[in-house]
Amino acid sequence: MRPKTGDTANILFIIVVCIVAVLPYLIMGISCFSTSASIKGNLIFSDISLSNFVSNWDSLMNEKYFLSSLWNSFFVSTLASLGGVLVASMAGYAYTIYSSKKINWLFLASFYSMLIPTAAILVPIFLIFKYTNLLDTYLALILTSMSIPFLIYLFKQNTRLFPTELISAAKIDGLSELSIFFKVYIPYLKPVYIAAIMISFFNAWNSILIPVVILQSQYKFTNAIFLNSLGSIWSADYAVMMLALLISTLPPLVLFLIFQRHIIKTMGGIN
Amino acid sequence: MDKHLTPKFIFLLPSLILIGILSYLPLLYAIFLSFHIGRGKSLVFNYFENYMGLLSDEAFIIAFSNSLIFTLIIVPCIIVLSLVVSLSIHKVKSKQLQNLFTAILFIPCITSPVAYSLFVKQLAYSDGTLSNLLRGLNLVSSSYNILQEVWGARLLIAFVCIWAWSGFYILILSVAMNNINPDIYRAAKLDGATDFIIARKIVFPTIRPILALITILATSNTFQIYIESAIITKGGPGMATLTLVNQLYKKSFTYVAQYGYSSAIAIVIFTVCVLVSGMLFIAWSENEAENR
Repeated sequence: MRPKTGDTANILFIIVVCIVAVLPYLIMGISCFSTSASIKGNLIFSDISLSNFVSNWDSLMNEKYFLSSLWNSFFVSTLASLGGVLVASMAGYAYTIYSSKKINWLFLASFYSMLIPTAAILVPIFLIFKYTNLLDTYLALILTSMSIPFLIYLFKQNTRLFPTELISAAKIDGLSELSIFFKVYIPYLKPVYIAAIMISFFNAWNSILIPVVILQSQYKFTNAIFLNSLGSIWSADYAVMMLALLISTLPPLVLFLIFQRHIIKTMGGIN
Repeated sequence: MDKHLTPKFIFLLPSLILIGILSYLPLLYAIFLSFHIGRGKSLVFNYFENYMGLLSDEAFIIAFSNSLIFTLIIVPCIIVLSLVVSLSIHKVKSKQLQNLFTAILFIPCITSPVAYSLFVKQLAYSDGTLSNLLRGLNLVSSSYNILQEVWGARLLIAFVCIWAWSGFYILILSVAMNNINPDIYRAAKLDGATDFIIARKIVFPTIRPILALITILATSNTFQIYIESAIITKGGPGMATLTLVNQLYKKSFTYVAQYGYSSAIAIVIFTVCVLVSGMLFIAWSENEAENR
């Protein structure tokens, strides 16, 4: 048996690490109830009040493209995650069900494309969309935000849990291959789908390197690009900035807290 | 319907087309561009001149060594921290608490890098909280400004990355440790094994393949570090935190676009990432073979 004190020390250690992990969010949370003048350079916030929050909120809402950037991010991330998960899960399904030597080569080709750094293909991606007249369009943004190779791997690993007897049973019932996928496979792996959609949603919401190159019109900016451009204005109000950061962090955070059980389990399945 | 269009290919085709167009074609295009100079229709083949140019470009050499410095600081820290924390979480008896801790530590991973970088920039900027904190603790002189110090700025960025990325690796390691059969622990404890021996002889060997995977991922991610230094320090002071991707971005999209030259940088980044992954993979499989 382990001594009790060891367990307590262990838990205390983890709690300290957890506090460090969430400290920035707490600081953001407190800062938006304060004013720039009282936060700047201080560790302890002296001027905390609801009216400060209201005035910070008002000036943020006056920021022309803030709300539209949230909506754009939501729109792009939703379509990219739904599309990416559909395409990738079809492939992950096929790679497990019709496994053969040739098919496995195709899987490896998909898998190893994860080794290509995004930064390395930045210029070609920009030029390809420029030549196809797709620069500054959501289509280009959605296509590049799908994280398909990773999702294929995720689905291939998790398809191992799918009992193949279900397929033979469905074939006897006269279902076509496509309807087996849609009517048997998708419902069976619903938790994996939820997690995969969430993970790719977060990826799309947070991605910056490619979106910054593709989008040019301010009204099309996603939230990450909006924040990035806000950050280059040195005079940006400190407290308002903290409020903007907090609000921008919330959508993925809330989704994560709702679905964290599925997400952690599915991410663990990639081992 | 075409006979060759079997369901198999209906399932595979969309992903193959997308990966082909958005990953492999751009990679080939980058390789092509890296041997050329000029833009659009005036593209001229210039052999290895872009690559030769890199060798005599001071900014490139500095950026390369900075990316290397960041990798050498950040990757070992992330691996050790993730191992220590996930071992601690693994020792907690309640499964619910384990999940809670893992979930909390994962939160930074779903935060936009732009958002946390801006947050840190606000804290660190000249009249910011961070420099005041260091001064208040008497760790630095009264005129100290963390963003104006070479190692201050570098360590700040390294710390931010470790804070932001560790949760992902902790999650993967925690789940791997949970997959170990509990009977093995019981047997080990009956034989009088201590925590340390259990960690060394049971946990560590089982998670070693995952440790290799994590090292590959962390190395490749860190070598591509960009947005943190672009926002927090803008590559400064001087060029102390200028990374390879910063330099690539500058050459492609700010001043006069030099696609050929920046593609040569891109190929260097690609080559380093592939070489590191390959080396780690080979080292890992040899290790596995020895232990079999």
